Amino acid sequence: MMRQGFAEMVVGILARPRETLRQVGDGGSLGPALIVLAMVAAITGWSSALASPHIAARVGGPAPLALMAIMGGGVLLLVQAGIGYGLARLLGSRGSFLGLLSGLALANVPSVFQAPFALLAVTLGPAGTALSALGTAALSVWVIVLSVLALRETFVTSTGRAVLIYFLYLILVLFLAGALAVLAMVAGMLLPALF
Amino acid sequence: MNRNRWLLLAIGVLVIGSLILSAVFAREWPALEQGNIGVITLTGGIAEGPAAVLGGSGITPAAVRRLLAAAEADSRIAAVVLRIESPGGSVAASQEIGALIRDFPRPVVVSMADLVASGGLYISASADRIVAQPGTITGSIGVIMSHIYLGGLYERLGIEAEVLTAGEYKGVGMEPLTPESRQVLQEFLDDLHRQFIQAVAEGRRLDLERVREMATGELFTGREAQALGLVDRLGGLDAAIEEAGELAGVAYPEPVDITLPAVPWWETLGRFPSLLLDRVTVALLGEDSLLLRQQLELHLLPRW
Repeated sequence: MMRQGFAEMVVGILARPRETLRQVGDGGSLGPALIVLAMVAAITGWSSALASPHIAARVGGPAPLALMAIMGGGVLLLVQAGIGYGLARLLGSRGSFLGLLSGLALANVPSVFQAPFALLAVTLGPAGTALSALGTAALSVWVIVLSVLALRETFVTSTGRAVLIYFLYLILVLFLAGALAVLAMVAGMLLPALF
Repeated sequence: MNRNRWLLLAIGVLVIGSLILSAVFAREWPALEQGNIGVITLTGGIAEGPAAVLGGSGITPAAVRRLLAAAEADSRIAAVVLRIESPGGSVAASQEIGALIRDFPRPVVVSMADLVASGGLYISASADRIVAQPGTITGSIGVIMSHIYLGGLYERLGIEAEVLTAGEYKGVGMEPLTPESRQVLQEFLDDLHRQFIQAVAEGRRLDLERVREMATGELFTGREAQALGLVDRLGGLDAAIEEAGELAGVAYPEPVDITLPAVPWWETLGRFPSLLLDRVTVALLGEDSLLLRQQLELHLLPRW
């Protein structure tokens, strides 16, 4: 299959997602896809910092927040791809793990449009913040749709099964997050008692 | 250049342009919510280093220095309110924090929370005004120190310890107290007590003799403290903000929190080995071992 260039990949995921995701589905474009993800995460982190300076101040400013977004994005991608791949195999689908990694990484590209929304939040005050929140929510839906498409094209499966895998993944992640929160609460109660 | 590259360029210009413009406008944006009274919350024991692990980290000179520097660096901050909750702590750390508050170039008002006693009062006395609730617990102008002799424990463990010293009172912390060494330590504490009394008298502009009379180590309610001149006004944080606005000549005082960045998660994780070690110590030697360590950490350490 023909390898895609950087520009083709970024523009393709926005304009022709199905075709683009099908082409990266074999895993051969993982490197450029991960670079795209890192850039998207950095832009998203930086945008969030500008739109919410108080949150950014708590972690030391926009640069640390962008760095955390890159690291967090990488970890989340691995978790998402790992769980998604496992669920797809359990449901009898076959596909490339590296292809899924590439597809899910590219699915985050719409998040770069958080930057214009951050500008709205910064310049228009509360109204801009509300618009920015709405825009971010819409971008999240776009990312979810692309993630489902990535699952569908990687495993050459039906849309229904891809949606099922995605939502099972969400449920599992929520469960894991809940378990971690409970663990953190228990640790929070027990650890101070040691002193 | 093909169509994809033009589109990528357009997206890049939109995104990078937005980020640059956001950064430019963000300078004017209410990063501090346009507040003019900085509110700094100081909670916990006073110590040179972080006093607690996970959660509150106590009141340290380094943290207070950074918080006051942040307030000073912001020209919109006309005055600072210190919201304090502290039972006191180590002597020199309190003196250093007191000096930082005294030397702060803009008005500083202390808002006493539940308990602001001993060293907590010492640092508060350096502020321009003190506001407390009628039921706030304050006072305790005194110095405390403990001496632990471990001879009995050594004997129980079969350890024969011999202390060699040069200097008559060098081994005072390692041996049972004699009337003479007790006298030396008492004089040492008395000097610190005099320093405390003097600092309160100067900070609160009270007669030295009057402060000496109240410096018995007893606790006062906020209402009693006001009658004694240790507190200027009864009220909560809002009253302190109002007071700060008045001192700074600000018609509409707007509070804004001044905080330090959160402790990075990797630093928190770095403390887990010591927590684990504590658990192992307790498992091997029992709960008393932690109590013993705590007592040894306070051994011959004067506190107020």
